[in-house]
This record gives sequence, structure tokens and C-alpha cells, in this order.
Amino acid sequence: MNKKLILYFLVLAIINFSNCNKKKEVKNINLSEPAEKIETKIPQDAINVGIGAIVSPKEGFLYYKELLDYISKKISKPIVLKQGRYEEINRLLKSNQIDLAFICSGAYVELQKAAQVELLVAPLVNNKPEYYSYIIVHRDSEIENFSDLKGKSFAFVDPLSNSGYLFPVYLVAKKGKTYQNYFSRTIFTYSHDNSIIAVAEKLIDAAAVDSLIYNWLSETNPELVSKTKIILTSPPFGIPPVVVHKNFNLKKEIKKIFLELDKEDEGKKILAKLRIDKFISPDDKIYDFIREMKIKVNELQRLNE
Amino acid sequence: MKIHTKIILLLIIVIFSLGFSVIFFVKEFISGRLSAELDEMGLCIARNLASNCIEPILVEDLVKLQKMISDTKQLEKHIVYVFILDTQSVPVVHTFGDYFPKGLADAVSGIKTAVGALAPYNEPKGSTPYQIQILSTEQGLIRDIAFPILNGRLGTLHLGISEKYIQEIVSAIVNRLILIICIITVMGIVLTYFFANRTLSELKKVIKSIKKIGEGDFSQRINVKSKDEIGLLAKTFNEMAEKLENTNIQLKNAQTQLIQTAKMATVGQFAAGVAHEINNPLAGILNCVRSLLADPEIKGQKRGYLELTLKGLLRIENTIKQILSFSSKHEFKVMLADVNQLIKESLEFVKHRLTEQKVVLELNLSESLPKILCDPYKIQQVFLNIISNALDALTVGGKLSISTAMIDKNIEIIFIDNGKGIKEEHLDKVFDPFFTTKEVGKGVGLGLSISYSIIQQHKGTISIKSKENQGTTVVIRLPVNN
Repeated sequence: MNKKLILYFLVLAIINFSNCNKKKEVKNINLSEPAEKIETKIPQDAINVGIGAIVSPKEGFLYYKELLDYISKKISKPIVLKQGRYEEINRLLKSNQIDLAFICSGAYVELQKAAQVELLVAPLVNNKPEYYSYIIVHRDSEIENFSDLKGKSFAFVDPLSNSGYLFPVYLVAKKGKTYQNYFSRTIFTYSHDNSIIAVAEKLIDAAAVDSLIYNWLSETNPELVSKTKIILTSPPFGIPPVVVHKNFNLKKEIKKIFLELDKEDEGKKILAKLRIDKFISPDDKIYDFIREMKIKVNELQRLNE
Repeated sequence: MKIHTKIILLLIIVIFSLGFSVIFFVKEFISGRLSAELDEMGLCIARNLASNCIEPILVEDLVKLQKMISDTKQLEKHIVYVFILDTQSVPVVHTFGDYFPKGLADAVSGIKTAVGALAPYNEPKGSTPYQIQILSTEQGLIRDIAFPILNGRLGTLHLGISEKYIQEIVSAIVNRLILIICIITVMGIVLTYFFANRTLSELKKVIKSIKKIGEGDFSQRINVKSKDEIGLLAKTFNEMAEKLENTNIQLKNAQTQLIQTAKMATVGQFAAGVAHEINNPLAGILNCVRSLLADPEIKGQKRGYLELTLKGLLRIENTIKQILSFSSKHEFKVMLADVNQLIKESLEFVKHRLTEQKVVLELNLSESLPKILCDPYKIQQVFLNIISNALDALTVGGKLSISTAMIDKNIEIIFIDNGKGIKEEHLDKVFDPFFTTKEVGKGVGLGLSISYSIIQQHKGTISIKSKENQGTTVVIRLPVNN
């Protein structure tokens, strides 16, 4: 009996010890001593790139990061990315805090007044430097055309957006109304993917979105996009361009990199991911339609008021 | 050490070792479970926060970031701190207020949840590599969960969760367990004490009784009702005591009889002395009487008296000679002797008793018996013993018959009396030394035992048959050829 007892305690002891060994390593630290202040090192010769909130910052980051990494590698300079709303990016461009920016056509049209910004390149999608504004509603919605939207809620993207704001406002203005009294309620989502989400989740009845973003998302996030349907497609607009501050010293080199993207394997892969055929040096005239539309809207709005 | 103490000590050792093993296991198990749960909770919060802070980081909305982490810290009481490091491990926002602790900066500097540029763009769902390390601080143990933001491309989110909560729960459970163990121990001790007391009190009874027996009190019996080993012990003890008591009584009787024997032996020696003393003057007296009778002038009545005196004196002389010869110590000395003669001489010794008890004596002595080689004194002692026993058994007017016969090459001597006989249960003990049914002082119980050994010395046999109230038959066989 004694032997059994001893054996029993021995087994217990062994189990206990083996358990003790599993304990995690513990680091001893002191929380009361302050650390020296360190700042994030910003490279002096970095190229500052801005991305207007065409899509939400996360999507934009994921969308452009590879392209920017490629450019950074090609030109042997680090790139610092800045994202913000159209207005914010425009402001930074004007004050030369940003050297290069991907912006919306509407924002570009707005910027040109300042004349500190130059058109660098623009992408070709389906071999055209064009895109559209889609008016979308929920898949199950009974709304079939733009007239049905009267008295419904509507999501704009950004006051400077062409496809997400200017075009629907233009449509409303043509009907002799202001959007405030045409729609029951309007919101600004500040990115096209947010507008699509708002419609898909029935937070809002309808929205106007960038066709490029819509098509891209219909491939990368078909579940979301399939909850919506397009009830109206706008006439073609000049595609959102890449712009530079006129004083940006590397603009020629960078332009060359953009234009030669489709001539290299790695560039081709990146373009394919972005669903862009290639980058071209566009004619500024492709944005004239937007300019005209803007003037009309302003006139009509003044009349309607 | 007393049995009480032993049992209680063993009990305490067993309860404590078991109890503390259980406590250890429970502690390990619960703290393990709670740690896992805490990790799960922390990871859940970290995952959400890391996902939500992507946008503010990208648009450099530090106010929103600070608000987010402060709110998170406030919402969950277990969260000690939250901070976000950028890809260069520089704190972007934190909840420490005035300064960022150096110790923490050093502790987390080694952690690279994902290397910025190398990480894939799209986070694999659910398998984000996170790291948990345990920090020992002046605020207690803190589990630091490092969670990469956008796969580490935007930096790392750190969440510090206090283990205080785990320790509080564990110590509450452990305290309760210790209390339970203490209660069990106390209950165990009390129960054991009472149980042991009951058992031991019975044992004590046994010990007390054994002590008394040791002191000579054989009447001790133990009254134990329990049917366990102690009951068995008591029962065995009682049986032993019973036997001891009986043996003791027998021993006492034997002792009394031994004393009597010694006394009788003394008396015997004394009698021999007396006989010797009487013998000398008796010889003188006999000579005188004979001289007187030689005188022819003494005639008539006077001669008659003298002749009577001489006759009496001769009888006395004969008796004294017999006493002397009987009581004198004999070596075993064989000679040719006539058994019939020995019987007759023996009867002479008890003549007065035969007359006194009016015993009807029947003698059938075979005339053709050869003389045998034997120690006549010893054989006579045997005969006397047997006749004396028969006379003791016989009532007045009883019958004693003695016969001798030659059977094969043995002389058979048979003594038959119709006295009170021997009880059946005593029959096998009659040859035992000191066995007697006679009153103390009347016999020592050696007669038959001595007779047995004498007959054995002569290579003969002796046997006794008896029936109570009917009589006893003693058969002696003595071989002729030796």
C-alpha cells in the first residue's frame, strides 16, 4: 500500500513539473520610464503622391500600392503616399505638398483654374480614355429610370466628383430642380465603393458611381456589386487622370515610366491587375464635356434658386 | 506515537497532498482557460481595431485614431493600453498620455508581425500572424497582443490586457478550495478521532484484561460486541483466558497434592525412624518374654499371659519389620518370587481394613503358578495400591475378588471389586500423575501412576475397566520368561 502511495505521489509530481515547464516566457519591463521621443523618418527626397478618395482609402491603398512600388523602384526614390478627399488633395497639390496625384476628372477640372497643375498621363480602359457615371439602385428595387428617383434618397460621392456628383446634379438641374428638393434625402459617402455599399445594403435608394470602380469591384467583390443594378449610364467622360505640380522636377522621367508600363512584363502584370490597357498622354479636350456640364449646372442652379 | 496521532497524521498528509494537487491542477487549468479566453477576447478587439484604423492611418487622421484607441481602452476594463506603431516601429498614437514607456518600446521592438513591403496586399482571412507576449510590469502581468495592420504594411497595433482579472478569479477559486480542504481536514480529524477512540477503547479493554491476567487474575473476560478484528481478538482472548483459568485450577490442585506428597514422604521417613527406634527395645522385650517363658516354673494363667504377650510382640515385630522393609529405599533388585505369596503378604497389610469394612474377600489363586523374576517389593507396592484403591471404593459389605492364573506365558492377576467405580471421563486419566478423585489429604494421585511405571519396568501390562456404581476390574499381566 505504501509503495502504491509513493508511486501515486511520484506521478502527481511528474505531471505537475511537466505542467510548470509549459509556462510562457515572461519579460520584465518598467512602464514608468519614458522613452526618447522618436519621429518617423520621412525620406528627404521622397516623391509625395496623393490619391483622391475615388475609392475608400484602404481600397485605394491596395489598388495603387503595386503601381507606386514599381515607380519607386524604377526611379530609385521612395514614395510617400497621401490620401484624402478631393478637396484636400487639390489643396495639397496647389501648395506643392504633393508632387503627383491620382485624381478624379471632376477634381481635375476644378484644379485647372489654379493652373499650377499639369496633366501627366491618363489610362486607357477598353482602349478609350473614357469612363461613365452609373446610376445604381438595389437589385430588388422597383426603380427603373431616373424619373423614378424623385422623392427617393440619393448618395453622392464628393462635391468635387464628376461621376458621383456633377452628373446626377446635372440631370436633376435639367428637370428644373435642385437636388435638395428633388431627392428626399442626400448623403456624401466620399468614395465610390462606399456609395455602392450604401445601395447594396439598402441604406440609400440610389447612387451615382464611377464606372471604372464599379466594374473593378464587380470582379473583386462580386457579392457586393451583384446586389445592385444600373438603371442609367452617362455619356462618356474624360477618364480620371494622373496630374503633377508644374514644378515637379521628375515629371518627365515619371511620365516615361507610365507610358512604358505596357512594354515590360512586370508593368503589364500591374496594368492587368488595374484593368488598364496602358497609360497615354491625353488631350485636355477630353475633359471639356465635364467643364460644359459644370457651367450648365451652375447656370441651372442659379435659375432654379 | 499513538495510533490516534498516526491515523490523523496520515489523514492530514493524504488530504493535504490530494487537496494541493487538486488546487494546482484547477489553478493551472482555469488560468490556462482564462488566458486562452482573454487572448481570444484581446485578439477579437485587436482584429477589429486593426481593421478600423486602416482608414484613419491612410488619411493620417490622428485625432480619429487616438479617439478610437482611447475609446477601446475605456470600454474594456481589462485593457491596460493600446498603441499603434508605424512600419518604422515609431509610436503613432498611444494611451499612455504624457510619454511612451521605454520598457515597452524595447519589449515590442523585436516584434515584426509582418515585414512591410514583403507582405501580400490582401490579408488572408483569419490567419493573420499575431504575437502574444507576457510582460511583467509594476501593474502586474500584462498580455501584449501585437496585431499587424493591413498585414503589417501600415504598422502594428498593440493591445495590453491585464492578467489581474485572471489572477483574481484564480485566487478566489484557490481560496475557496483551501477553505474546503481545511473544512474536510477538520471534519476528517474529528471523525477519525471519534472512530479511533471507539476502536481504541475496545483495544484498551483488551490491553487492560491482558494486564490483569499478567497480574494473576484469570477470571478476566472482555465484553466486546463489535464483529471486526478487535471482536475476534477479544473472542480469542476470552478463549485463552478460559483455558488459562482451567489450567491454573488444575495446577493449584496439583500443587496442593504435591505438598501432601512431600508431607507423606516426610511422615514415611519419620515412620521408618520410629519403627527402628521401636525395633531395638522390642528385641529386648522379646528376649525378656522368651527368657521368662523358658522358666518352667511359670505355669498356668501366668504362662498363658506371657504366651499372649509374646504372640502380640511377635505381631508387632512382624509389622515393624514390614514397615522397615517397605519404607527402606530399594534399588531395582530382581529375585525369584511367588506372586501368590506377594498377594497374601499384601493382604496382611490391610487385614484390619478388611475386617473393619466387612469386605467379602474371594481368593482364587492358582496353585500351579511358577515363580517369576521380579522386584517383589515393587510388585507388592503395586498390589497394595490396587487393593487399597479397591477398599476405598468399596462400601461396607462390599466384595473383593483376587484371582491369579497362567495365561500363555504370562501370569494374569485380576482384581475385581463391586465398589463405586470410576467415572467414564476420568477413566483415561487414572494413570496420569497426581490425578485423583479423592479428597485432599487422602490421596496424592500417584499410586496408579507409579504402579503403571513399575509394571512397565517388568515388561508387563496393567489395564483398568470400570463402570460407575458397578465396580472396577484391574488386570495385571506379568511375563514369566525373563
